[in-house]
Amino acid sequence: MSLLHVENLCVDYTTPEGTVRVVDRVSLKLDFGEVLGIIGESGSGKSVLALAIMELLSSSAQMTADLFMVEDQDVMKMAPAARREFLSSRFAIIFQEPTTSLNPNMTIGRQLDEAIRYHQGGSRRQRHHEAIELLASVGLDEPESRLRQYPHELSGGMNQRVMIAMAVSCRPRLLIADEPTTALDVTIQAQILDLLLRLNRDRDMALILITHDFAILSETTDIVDVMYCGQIVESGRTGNLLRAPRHPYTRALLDSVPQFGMRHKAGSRLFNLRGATPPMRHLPVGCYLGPRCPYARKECVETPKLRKIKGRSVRCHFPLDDKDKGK
Amino acid sequence: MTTPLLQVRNLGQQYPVRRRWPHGPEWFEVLADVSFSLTAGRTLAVVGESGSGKSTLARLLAGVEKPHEGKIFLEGQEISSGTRGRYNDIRMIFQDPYASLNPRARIAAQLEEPLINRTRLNAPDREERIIEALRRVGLRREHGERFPHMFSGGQRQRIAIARALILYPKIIVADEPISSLDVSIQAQIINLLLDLQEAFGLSYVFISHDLGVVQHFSDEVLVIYHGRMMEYGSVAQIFDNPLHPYTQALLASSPAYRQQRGLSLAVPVAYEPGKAGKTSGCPFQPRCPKALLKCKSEMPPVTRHDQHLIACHLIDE
Repeated sequence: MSLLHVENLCVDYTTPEGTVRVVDRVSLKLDFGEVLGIIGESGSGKSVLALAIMELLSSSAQMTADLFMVEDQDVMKMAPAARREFLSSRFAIIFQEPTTSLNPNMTIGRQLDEAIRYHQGGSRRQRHHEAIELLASVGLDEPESRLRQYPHELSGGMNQRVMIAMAVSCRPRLLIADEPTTALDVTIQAQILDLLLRLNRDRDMALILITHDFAILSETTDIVDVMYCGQIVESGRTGNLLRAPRHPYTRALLDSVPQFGMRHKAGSRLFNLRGATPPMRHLPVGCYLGPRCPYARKECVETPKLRKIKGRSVRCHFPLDDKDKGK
Repeated sequence: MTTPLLQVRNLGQQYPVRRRWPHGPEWFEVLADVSFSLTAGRTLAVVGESGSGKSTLARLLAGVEKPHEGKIFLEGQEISSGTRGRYNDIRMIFQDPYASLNPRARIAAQLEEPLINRTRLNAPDREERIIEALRRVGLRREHGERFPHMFSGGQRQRIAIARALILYPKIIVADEPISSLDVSIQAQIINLLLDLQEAFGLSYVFISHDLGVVQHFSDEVLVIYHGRMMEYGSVAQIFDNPLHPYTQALLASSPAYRQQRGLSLAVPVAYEPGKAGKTSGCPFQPRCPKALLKCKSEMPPVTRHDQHLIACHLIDE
């Protein structure tokens, strides 16, 4: 039994100009306690995928899937309200900007209490104790006095800790962290990642970490999915994938970030992909990376399928070898 | 010795914090005692966490604000006392290009504005300059007729660079120019900035919190914390042999650095950065893992050590 098993999940948005497919046939399988990383640039559909898994999409979005199993129960067969109830008791999500996720008019205590009351119930005293315990478990000092404070009195890192406390108040089996550290300072980023990993270990809670930073994934995740234009273009075990990327896009993402120790000398340049991510409404024919890809050939006008190569899934007609050192 | 292009001496800035009448405002020190120099064609990176005074430093250099203390010299001439003309030589790029461009004006009109205000070029010459600037940043002539919302984030940043470039400045102050962009676009902008540096002999003051980019892009690094200079040295010195505990903590919190050095995800500094209180000691002392007793009471002086400039008591031990 796996925790989450999704096959061919699609999300379509209805717009005045017609439907736009934002997440295109994504398949995921996640075991209990596993850490999955999803990496992609903005507009790649990674956040929408997270919202779809949480059943939090707006009404203009339409989610379809061939299979959506959570703990061997078929989520697609549930009515919308039951589905939301079912998912919210097992999954939790935190977002990029903690200060905007919290209500500025309510104390930390009241917001946290709301989540505890919904998920666990209990008397006021019990909930108060639970709240203090939760804040302490996410590493906030003086949890008791924090309950009386408002979000603006805390720093970004502390607010993110409060968000994590609220998220784990339902004792979730899976926590989805959508760019949890992007808005935070580097020193705080390390602390938050450390906290998420500790919760993953101590509570046996699976983690989906959505990010655009490969360096973060390298030390936190077991598996990485690379997304581009709504599709998974490569998927594999983290170490393998980072060491020898097979999809040109993965390669390009890795090469466009300067490596430590590689200093700029006159004339040395970072690798960069041509152009920008195409808008979802006007995707190129065939492989979506085609027009930007340094390896593209004429066969690339055909849509590539996600193929298995040595324990790796790659969506490319000409996957790279270990020898390829990039162009 | 030749005069450096830009020289900054003991720069300080403070902002008033309003208090209830009859008290006068309390002064909040955001930058104190920052000194550095920059030679032509080189890049100085300013790194630090948010609230460390990085952007204030940028605003002082670009002449947006006047410093409370200290002096800024451009080619040996003091500019901080208000000779506006010299600011043609120092231009600025901001983090969010969409916020720094006028949404209701065409790109060409926005590029023309500094030319009208700061030069005596006639209309055809101005147009030539605009086309040249657009070409330099990888855009075409017809892009000038469009509005900011018609461009992607990367292209908007290119426009912002064109606007900074159009007066042929000597120095460009770039305040987090790539942090709002996607990774593949970041690489494009970094490469563009490097190309322009080579073509025009530009100097950059590059403000960033991305240490990977900093060590790729810059020649010298200035580390500041709560407005105080912590460490200042060449890229090689700072990244290969960081001496200040804050620099070490900053580096250890970068995943790429940990990867390269084989470090684990250990939490480098214990506390969150608090509000800078009035302290007579070292501002980093409450978070410093190696703090001594005297760090609390005495601000360590900036001393030269092994070509680095460093402000830390530990260095004498």
